[in-house]
Amino acid sequence: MKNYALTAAIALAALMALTGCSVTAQCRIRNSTGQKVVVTSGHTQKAIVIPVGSVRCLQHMAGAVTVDRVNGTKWLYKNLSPLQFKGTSYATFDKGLFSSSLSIDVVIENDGKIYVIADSLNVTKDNYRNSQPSGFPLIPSE
Amino acid sequence: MASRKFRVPNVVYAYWAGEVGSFGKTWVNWDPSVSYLRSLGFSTIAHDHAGGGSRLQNVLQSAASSRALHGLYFWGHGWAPYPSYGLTSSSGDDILYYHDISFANGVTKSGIRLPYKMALGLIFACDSNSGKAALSSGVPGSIWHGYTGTLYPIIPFTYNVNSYIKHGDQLTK
Repeated sequence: MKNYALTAAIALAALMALTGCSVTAQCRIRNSTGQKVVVTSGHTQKAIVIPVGSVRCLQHMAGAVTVDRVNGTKWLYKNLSPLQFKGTSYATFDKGLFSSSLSIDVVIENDGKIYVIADSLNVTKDNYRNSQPSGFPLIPSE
Repeated sequence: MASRKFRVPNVVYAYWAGEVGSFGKTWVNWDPSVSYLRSLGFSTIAHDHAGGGSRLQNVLQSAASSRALHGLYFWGHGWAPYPSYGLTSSSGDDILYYHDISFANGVTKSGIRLPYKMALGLIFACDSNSGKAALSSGVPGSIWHGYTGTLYPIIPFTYNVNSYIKHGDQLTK
Protein backbone atom coordinates (compact mmCIF):
# COMPACT_ATOMS: atom_id res chain seq x y z
CA MET A 1 0.00 0.00 0.00
CA LYS A 2 2.88 2.31 0.88
CA ASN A 3 4.57 1.59 -2.47
CA TYR A 4 1.32 2.26 -4.29
CA ALA A 5 0.98 5.66 -2.61
CA LEU A 6 4.59 6.51 -3.42
CA THR A 7 4.14 5.50 -7.05
CA ALA A 8 0.98 7.56 -7.27
CA ALA A 9 2.75 10.58 -5.78
CA ILE A 10 5.64 10.27 -8.24
CA ALA A 11 3.22 9.89 -11.15
CA LEU A 12 1.33 12.98 -10.01
CA ALA A 13 4.55 14.95 -9.69
CA ALA A 14 5.57 13.90 -13.19
CA LEU A 15 2.15 14.87 -14.48
CA MET A 16 2.33 18.25 -12.84
CA ALA A 17 5.75 18.86 -14.31
CA LEU A 18 3.82 19.34 -17.53
CA THR A 19 2.14 22.41 -16.10
CA GLY A 20 5.18 24.57 -16.57
CA CYS A 21 7.25 22.84 -19.20
CA SER A 22 8.43 24.66 -22.27
CA VAL A 23 7.40 24.50 -25.91
CA THR A 24 10.44 24.17 -28.15
CA ALA A 25 10.89 25.68 -31.59
CA GLN A 26 13.35 23.78 -33.75
CA CYS A 27 14.64 23.23 -37.26
CA ARG A 28 15.45 19.76 -38.57
CA ILE A 29 18.24 20.47 -41.01
CA ARG A 30 19.39 18.19 -43.80
CA ASN A 31 22.90 18.82 -45.06
CA SER A 32 22.93 18.53 -48.84
CA THR A 33 25.94 20.80 -49.35
CA GLY A 34 28.38 17.98 -50.04
CA GLN A 35 30.56 19.02 -47.08
CA LYS A 36 30.34 18.74 -43.32
CA VAL A 37 28.82 21.93 -41.90
CA VAL A 38 28.55 23.63 -38.54
CA VAL A 39 25.23 25.42 -38.06
CA THR A 40 24.97 28.07 -35.35
CA SER A 41 21.82 29.65 -33.95
CA GLY A 42 22.09 33.40 -33.46
CA HIS A 43 19.31 33.03 -30.90
CA THR A 44 21.05 30.60 -28.55
CA GLN A 45 24.66 30.90 -29.82
CA LYS A 46 24.74 27.09 -29.83
CA ALA A 47 26.13 25.13 -32.75
CA ILE A 48 25.54 21.67 -34.20
CA VAL A 49 27.70 19.67 -36.58
CA ILE A 50 25.91 18.03 -39.49
CA PRO A 51 27.76 15.38 -41.52
CA VAL A 52 27.19 15.15 -45.26
CA GLY A 53 23.73 13.81 -46.08
CA SER A 54 22.62 13.76 -42.45
CA VAL A 55 19.79 15.45 -40.58
CA ARG A 56 20.29 17.15 -37.22
CA CYS A 57 18.00 19.23 -35.04
CA LEU A 58 18.79 22.86 -34.17
CA GLN A 59 16.79 24.48 -31.38
CA HIS A 60 16.10 27.95 -32.71
CA MET A 61 13.11 30.27 -32.40
CA ALA A 62 14.05 33.29 -34.49
CA GLY A 63 16.81 35.45 -35.84
CA ALA A 64 20.00 34.74 -37.71
CA VAL A 65 21.59 31.40 -38.50
CA THR A 66 25.12 30.87 -39.78
CA VAL A 67 26.54 27.89 -41.63
CA ASP A 68 30.29 27.24 -41.60
CA ARG A 69 31.69 24.82 -44.15
CA VAL A 70 34.96 22.92 -43.87
CA ASN A 71 36.34 24.85 -46.85
CA GLY A 72 36.11 28.04 -44.78
CA THR A 73 33.02 29.47 -46.43
CA LYS A 74 30.52 31.06 -44.06
CA TRP A 75 26.90 31.60 -45.03
CA LEU A 76 24.65 33.96 -43.09
CA TYR A 77 20.85 33.90 -43.09
CA LYS A 78 19.16 36.86 -41.44
CA ASN A 79 15.78 35.48 -40.46
CA LEU A 80 14.89 31.85 -39.96
CA SER A 81 11.93 31.13 -37.71
CA PRO A 82 9.78 28.02 -37.37
CA LEU A 83 7.09 30.35 -36.07
CA GLN A 84 6.61 31.67 -39.60
CA PHE A 85 5.09 28.32 -40.54
CA LYS A 86 2.97 27.56 -37.48
CA GLY A 87 -0.38 26.21 -38.62
CA THR A 88 0.79 25.50 -42.18
CA SER A 89 1.83 22.30 -43.94
CA TYR A 90 5.47 23.34 -43.55
CA ALA A 91 5.42 22.92 -39.77
CA THR A 92 4.60 20.08 -37.45
CA PHE A 93 3.48 20.49 -33.87
CA ASP A 94 4.10 17.54 -31.57
CA LYS A 95 2.40 17.60 -28.20
CA GLY A 96 4.32 15.05 -26.18
CA LEU A 97 4.00 13.67 -22.69
CA PHE A 98 6.82 15.77 -21.26
CA SER A 99 7.43 18.39 -23.91
CA SER A 100 5.90 19.94 -27.00
CA SER A 101 7.67 21.14 -30.10
CA LEU A 102 7.12 23.21 -33.20
CA SER A 103 9.36 21.92 -35.99
CA ILE A 104 10.19 22.67 -39.58
CA ASP A 105 12.27 20.61 -42.00
CA VAL A 106 14.80 22.42 -44.14
CA VAL A 107 17.52 21.47 -46.60
CA ILE A 108 20.78 23.33 -47.14
CA GLU A 109 21.95 22.81 -50.71
CA ASN A 110 25.43 23.17 -52.13
CA ASP A 111 24.76 26.67 -53.45
CA GLY A 112 23.85 27.79 -49.93
CA LYS A 113 20.12 28.09 -50.49
CA ILE A 114 17.88 26.82 -47.72
CA TYR A 115 14.61 25.21 -48.78
CA VAL A 116 11.76 24.43 -46.43
CA ILE A 117 9.98 21.12 -46.94
CA ALA A 118 6.24 20.64 -46.53
CA ASP A 119 5.45 17.67 -44.31
CA SER A 120 3.63 15.97 -47.17
CA LEU A 121 6.76 15.90 -49.32
CA ASN A 122 9.59 13.40 -49.38
CA VAL A 123 12.87 15.24 -49.66
CA THR A 124 14.51 12.41 -51.60
CA LYS A 125 11.71 12.00 -54.14
CA ASP A 126 9.69 15.17 -54.52
CA ASN A 127 10.72 18.36 -56.20
CA TYR A 128 10.29 20.63 -53.21
CA ARG A 129 12.08 23.43 -55.03
CA ASN A 130 8.92 24.24 -56.94
CA SER A 131 6.73 24.64 -53.87
CA GLN A 132 8.48 27.19 -51.73
CA PRO A 133 6.56 29.66 -49.55
CA SER A 134 7.07 33.43 -49.61
CA GLY A 135 10.61 34.39 -48.57
CA PHE A 136 12.08 31.00 -49.47
CA PRO A 137 14.47 29.63 -50.47
CA LEU A 138 16.68 31.63 -48.15
CA ILE A 139 19.67 33.02 -49.99
CA PRO A 140 22.80 33.45 -47.89
CA SER A 141 25.05 36.43 -47.63
CA GLU A 142 28.70 35.48 -47.31
CA MET B 1 -7.39 75.75 -8.55
CA ALA B 2 -8.71 73.47 -11.27
CA SER B 3 -9.28 69.89 -10.30
CA ARG B 4 -7.67 67.18 -12.34
CA LYS B 5 -9.07 63.71 -12.90
CA PHE B 6 -6.64 60.83 -12.96
CA ARG B 7 -6.77 57.06 -12.83
CA VAL B 8 -4.94 54.71 -10.52
CA PRO B 9 -4.06 51.46 -12.34
CA ASN B 10 -5.65 48.68 -10.30
CA VAL B 11 -6.38 45.82 -12.70
CA VAL B 12 -4.45 42.58 -12.35
CA TYR B 13 -4.96 39.95 -15.02
CA ALA B 14 -4.83 36.35 -13.84
CA TYR B 15 -4.29 34.25 -16.96
CA TRP B 16 -4.35 30.46 -16.85
CA ALA B 17 -2.66 28.60 -19.72
CA GLY B 18 -1.48 25.68 -17.63
CA GLU B 19 -2.26 21.99 -17.87
CA VAL B 20 -4.80 19.45 -16.61
CA GLY B 21 -7.58 21.94 -15.86
CA SER B 22 -8.93 22.23 -12.35
CA PHE B 23 -6.50 19.59 -11.09
CA GLY B 24 -3.58 21.67 -12.29
CA LYS B 25 -5.08 24.78 -10.74
CA THR B 26 -5.44 23.01 -7.41
CA TRP B 27 -1.83 21.78 -7.61
CA VAL B 28 -0.42 25.27 -8.03
CA ASN B 29 -2.86 27.12 -5.74
CA TRP B 30 -4.44 29.04 -8.60
CA ASP B 31 -7.84 29.82 -7.08
CA PRO B 32 -6.47 30.79 -3.64
CA SER B 33 -3.95 33.05 -5.36
CA VAL B 34 -6.66 34.79 -7.38
CA SER B 35 -8.72 35.24 -4.22
CA TYR B 36 -5.69 36.60 -2.42
CA LEU B 37 -5.04 39.18 -5.14
CA ARG B 38 -8.69 40.28 -4.78
CA SER B 39 -8.30 40.48 -1.01
CA LEU B 40 -5.45 42.92 -1.56
CA GLY B 41 -7.91 45.21 -3.31
CA PHE B 42 -6.92 44.58 -6.91
CA SER B 43 -9.59 44.36 -9.54
CA THR B 44 -8.52 40.89 -10.58
CA ILE B 45 -9.75 39.56 -13.92
CA ALA B 46 -9.29 35.79 -14.19
CA HIS B 47 -9.20 34.20 -17.62
CA ASP B 48 -8.64 30.66 -18.86
CA HIS B 49 -6.82 30.37 -22.16
CA ALA B 50 -9.28 29.01 -24.70
CA GLY B 51 -6.88 28.39 -27.55
CA GLY B 52 -6.48 30.02 -30.90
CA GLY B 53 -6.70 33.75 -31.15
CA SER B 54 -7.29 34.94 -27.60
CA ARG B 55 -4.08 36.85 -27.20
CA LEU B 56 -3.14 38.13 -23.77
CA GLN B 57 -0.70 40.57 -25.33
CA ASN B 58 -3.49 42.63 -26.91
CA VAL B 59 -5.50 42.63 -23.69
CA LEU B 60 -2.57 43.94 -21.67
CA GLN B 61 -1.72 46.61 -24.21
CA SER B 62 -5.32 47.79 -24.26
CA ALA B 63 -5.56 47.86 -20.46
CA ALA B 64 -2.33 49.81 -20.25
CA SER B 65 -3.51 52.28 -22.87
CA SER B 66 -6.56 53.02 -20.72
CA ARG B 67 -4.30 53.40 -17.68
CA ALA B 68 -6.00 50.50 -15.87
CA LEU B 69 -3.25 47.85 -15.92
CA HIS B 70 -1.37 47.17 -12.73
CA GLY B 71 -0.07 43.63 -13.13
CA LEU B 72 -0.17 40.07 -14.44
CA TYR B 73 -0.37 36.72 -12.72
CA PHE B 74 0.31 33.96 -15.26
CA TRP B 75 0.59 30.18 -15.29
CA GLY B 76 1.50 28.43 -18.51
CA HIS B 77 4.38 27.74 -20.85
CA GLY B 78 7.40 29.59 -22.09
CA TRP B 79 8.88 29.26 -25.55
CA ALA B 80 12.22 27.46 -25.79
CA PRO B 81 15.06 27.53 -26.55
CA TYR B 82 16.25 30.15 -24.11
CA PRO B 83 16.39 33.07 -23.84
CA SER B 84 12.65 32.65 -24.26
CA TYR B 85 10.78 34.71 -26.82
CA GLY B 86 7.50 34.67 -24.93
CA LEU B 87 4.57 32.96 -23.29
CA THR B 88 2.49 30.25 -24.91
CA SER B 89 0.17 27.34 -24.29
CA SER B 90 0.99 23.67 -24.66
CA SER B 91 -0.47 23.96 -28.17
CA GLY B 92 1.95 26.73 -29.11
CA ASP B 93 -0.73 29.43 -29.29
CA ASP B 94 0.20 33.10 -29.57
CA ILE B 95 -0.21 34.47 -26.06
CA LEU B 96 2.53 37.04 -25.60
CA TYR B 97 5.91 37.79 -27.18
CA TYR B 98 8.65 39.73 -25.41
CA HIS B 99 10.29 40.91 -28.65
CA ASP B 100 9.44 41.41 -32.31
CA ILE B 101 10.05 38.33 -34.45
CA SER B 102 10.92 38.94 -38.10
CA PHE B 103 10.17 36.32 -40.72
CA ALA B 104 11.92 35.64 -44.01
CA ASN B 105 8.83 36.78 -45.93
CA GLY B 106 9.10 40.29 -44.49
CA VAL B 107 6.32 39.84 -41.95
CA THR B 108 6.99 40.77 -38.34
CA LYS B 109 5.16 39.34 -35.36
CA SER B 110 5.04 42.14 -32.85
CA GLY B 111 6.31 41.86 -29.33
CA ILE B 112 4.40 43.48 -26.50
CA ARG B 113 4.58 47.26 -26.25
CA LEU B 114 3.17 48.68 -23.06
CA PRO B 115 2.86 52.46 -22.70
CA TYR B 116 4.12 51.88 -19.17
CA LYS B 117 5.59 48.76 -17.60
CA MET B 118 3.70 46.88 -14.89
CA ALA B 119 4.23 47.22 -11.15
CA LEU B 120 3.38 43.56 -10.52
CA GLY B 121 4.50 40.53 -12.51
CA LEU B 122 4.08 36.97 -11.21
CA ILE B 123 4.94 34.87 -14.23
CA PHE B 124 5.00 31.12 -13.66
CA ALA B 125 6.42 29.89 -16.96
CA CYS B 126 9.73 28.60 -18.26
CA ASP B 127 12.39 31.28 -18.55
CA SER B 128 9.90 34.06 -17.86
CA ASN B 129 12.74 36.23 -16.57
CA SER B 130 13.54 36.81 -20.23
CA GLY B 131 10.40 38.94 -20.29
CA LYS B 132 11.17 41.06 -17.27
CA ALA B 133 12.49 44.01 -19.28
CA ALA B 134 9.41 44.04 -21.50
CA LEU B 135 6.87 43.67 -18.71
CA SER B 136 8.14 44.98 -15.39
CA SER B 137 8.74 48.61 -14.49
CA GLY B 138 11.62 47.54 -12.29
CA VAL B 139 11.29 50.67 -10.17
CA PRO B 140 11.59 50.50 -6.37
CA GLY B 141 8.38 49.02 -5.00
CA SER B 142 7.61 47.01 -8.10
CA ILE B 143 7.31 43.25 -7.64
CA TRP B 144 8.50 40.63 -10.08
CA HIS B 145 8.65 36.87 -9.76
CA GLY B 146 9.83 34.84 -12.73
CA TYR B 147 12.02 31.93 -13.66
CA THR B 148 15.32 31.45 -15.43
CA GLY B 149 15.42 28.18 -17.35
CA THR B 150 12.81 25.47 -17.13
CA LEU B 151 10.15 25.54 -14.43
CA TYR B 152 9.15 22.14 -13.05
CA PRO B 153 6.28 22.67 -10.61
CA ILE B 154 6.62 19.31 -8.92
CA ILE B 155 5.94 20.36 -5.34
CA PRO B 156 2.20 20.87 -4.90
CA PHE B 157 0.51 23.71 -3.03
CA THR B 158 3.64 25.82 -2.74
CA TYR B 159 3.01 28.49 -5.35
CA ASN B 160 0.55 30.84 -3.66
CA VAL B 161 1.25 34.42 -4.67
CA ASN B 162 1.11 35.48 -1.01
CA SER B 163 4.78 34.50 -0.92
CA TYR B 164 5.60 37.37 -3.27
CA ILE B 165 3.22 40.21 -2.40
CA LYS B 166 2.07 40.96 1.14
CA HIS B 167 -0.83 42.95 2.51
CA GLY B 168 0.28 46.56 2.54
CA ASP B 169 2.75 46.18 -0.32
CA GLN B 170 2.11 48.66 -3.14
CA LEU B 171 -0.47 50.42 -0.91
CA THR B 172 -2.75 47.37 -0.90
CA LYS B 173 -5.21 46.56 1.90
